[in-house]
This record gives sequence, structure tokens and C-alpha cells, in this order.
Amino acid sequence: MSIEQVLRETLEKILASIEAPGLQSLTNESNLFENLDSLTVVDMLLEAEMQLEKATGRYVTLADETIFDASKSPLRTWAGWVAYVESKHAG
Amino acid sequence: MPAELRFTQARIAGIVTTVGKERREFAVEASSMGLSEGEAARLQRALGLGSRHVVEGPETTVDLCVASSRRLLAGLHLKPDDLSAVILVTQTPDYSAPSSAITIQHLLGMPVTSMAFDMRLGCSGFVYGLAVASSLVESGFQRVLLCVGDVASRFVDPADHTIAPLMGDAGAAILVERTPSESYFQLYSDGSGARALIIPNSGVRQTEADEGLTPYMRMDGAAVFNFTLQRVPSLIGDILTMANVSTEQPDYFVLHQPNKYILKNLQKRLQLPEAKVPMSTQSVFGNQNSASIPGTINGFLSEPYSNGSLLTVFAGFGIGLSWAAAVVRTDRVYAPPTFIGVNAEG
Repeated sequence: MSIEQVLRETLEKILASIEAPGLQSLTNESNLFENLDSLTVVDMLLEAEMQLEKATGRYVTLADETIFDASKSPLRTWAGWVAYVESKHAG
Repeated sequence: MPAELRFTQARIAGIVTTVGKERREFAVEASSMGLSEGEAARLQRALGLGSRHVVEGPETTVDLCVASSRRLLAGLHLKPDDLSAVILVTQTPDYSAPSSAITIQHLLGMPVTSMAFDMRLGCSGFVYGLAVASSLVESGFQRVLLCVGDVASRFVDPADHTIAPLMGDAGAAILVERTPSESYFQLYSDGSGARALIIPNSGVRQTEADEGLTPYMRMDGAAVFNFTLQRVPSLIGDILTMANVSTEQPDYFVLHQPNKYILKNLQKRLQLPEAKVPMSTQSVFGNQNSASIPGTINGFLSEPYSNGSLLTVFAGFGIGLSWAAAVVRTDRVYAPPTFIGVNAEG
């Protein structure tokens, strides 16, 4: 399973328990930063880290000081989020 | 250049923590805070929320700290006359004025020839207080009593699910005495982040931004999260460098206990063994603010600190913004398991 697939499944799991109308139809430009509250982001980070560890055999911490930075957060677009996680796992 | 301190004549002789007697389970509290089962499950999973201990009735930080101090003095076979000073680090003093440390001095029966004063800090408070206590000892005092703690349950809105279920009440007492021992400290502050964690309308300043706000703690969770991940890894790296200690040498890294996710992230980023980074305090006792580091030692590491010679990294970080770290060697500290309630039997 690709990293993007893992992230997509993780997001779908998170969205099952919250209201986030802006993320119902996911595109590369979908803005997770504006549509998820901070606690949901932490929950998604935790879930993504666990699912990626299962899928890749490596535990990689995804949160850094840019996650909640309005001007730098990789969560500002879905494509940016996927690229960010891929680079973390490649690093 | 950070504010750095190095001591050679101050050692920790004892650490005692007392927590509020009332245990509250998050699973029970969640529904009263208006959380759905799904929301409660997310909070539990993401932050490690389990239970917390809060005071019963009108008990205050002073009550918790006096209980800890009496237990500490009894355990070390010391009398109040043996103390040259008492410092209280808290954000929840009995009164805005006078200093609650002076109340503690009186309640313990310390002589009027002793020094007593408050320091107003939160999650960095233990490391800051230990630095100041060590300074006094290094300057000639024989023994200084350091009290740290808060009744945080009083400064949060009980219905605010973003902060209330995190907080626990605790008061710790630490005895610092004049004995050869090396320790290293680095201390930082950044007032530009003052509003990331703030209790509005709690002092004499009145601003438009605070108009109509209740005097309860307000947290910008995202800002605090960013601050922690930006500052703490380099804080720990820098204090190790200052002390000329490798990452492998410390027996424990006892950090402030905000929540499990942050601690796990720090442990992984710093590539530290999980066994050296205790993370359970918040899940069992709640976020104990300035008492979280001594609370972690008494709560989960009583045996190793009581019986061994240990090299420890302490790091506290939070409201202010304020952050600080220390490398400290301890040798068979009086560190009994945490006392549950001010009247608990040892």
C-alpha cells in the first residue's frame, strides 16, 4: 500500500467521527489545516504514524514545528501533506 | 548565549509529592463535558487521557506543599529550624499578596530568620526553582526547601473539554542541601508568546482583548504544540553539550508531562530509549504543572531514585513562554511513592 493510500484511509477513519464538510470530496488542493481542529490533527498524526508503521515497518514521527504554523503547515493542501509524509519516510 | 548556571555544592536530598485525593476518570467526566463517545475516544487516544487527581473541597497549593514538606522533613529526620529558606513556585497562591511561601514558612514552624518568597511560573517552574534553590545553597545556605505545585483544577473552566480533563492538582517539596555535587542549568523565556497560555483578567491588567473573558486558563493548543516541538529538542541537546554528557549517559530524561503524544514525539525525535523517558504521569495524575517532574519521580521512579546514583536530564516547558533544562546527579534521594491526599499515611 502506498503512503498516499495509508494517509487517505487514515483521514477517512478520522472523518467518520467528526463533521468536516470541506473535506468530503478530497482533491490535491483540499485544505486540512483549515478544516480540522488542533485535537483532530493530533489524532490524525497519531493514527497515521501507527498505520504507516504497520505498512512500512518503520516508526517515523510526523509532527514538527511546522504542523500548526499557518504559513508553513504541510496540511494546507492534501498534496502537500502527502509529499511531506513521503519525504519524512524517505529521510 | 543562554542563561547558564553551573553548581558544585548543591544536591537534591529528598523529593516528596502529594496529589489531590479525589480521583476523576476521564471516561466518566467526558459526558458531563458534553463530549460524544467518539470525541472522548479521540481525546483518550491522542492525548493519553485516563484519570487525574484533584483536591477535595477548599484545599490549596499551600496545603499540598505543606503536607509534602512535613513528610519530607520527617523522612530526612530534619527540623524546620534546619531550613534557611523556602521557595514556592506556583500560579495558584493562596492570595495575590502576601507571598504564599511565607505562609508555608509559618505553617512549618520555620524560624523568622529564614528567607521565604514565591516564584510565578508554571511548567518550567521546577527547573527554575531548582536553579534558584541551588544558587542559594551554592552561596552559603545549608538547606533550602523548594515547593512547587498548583491546584490547576481551580484555574480551568470545568466545562472546557480542551483543557479541564488534562489538569491535576499536586504539590511537591524538594530539599536542596549543601553537599558536593555537580549540576548544570539552562533557562529561557519568550514573552512574545504570553498569550499562548494565559489566564485573562487574573491580575490588574485590563485589555480590550480580555474584555468579558472569564479568569480561566486559555490555551492556544497549536501554538503550544509548535513551541514545544521547536524548543525542546534543542533545549535537551544544548544542556547535554553544556554538561559534556552524551545522549546515552543519562539514566532518565524526566520531562514535564503535558500529554503522551508530545512526549512520544520528543522521545522519538531525540532517539532516546523509551524506558528512559517516563510518559505516564499525565494519564494517571493529570498535568501537574510545575510539580510534574517531581510528580513523575515519586509517581513512577521512586525505587531507582531512592536506591541508586543516577544522572538525570530535567526539562520543563510551557506558560510564559518559559523553558529550562538541567543535568543533575542524584544519589539515594529520599523519594517515597506519591501520597494521595494531604492526610494520607506513608
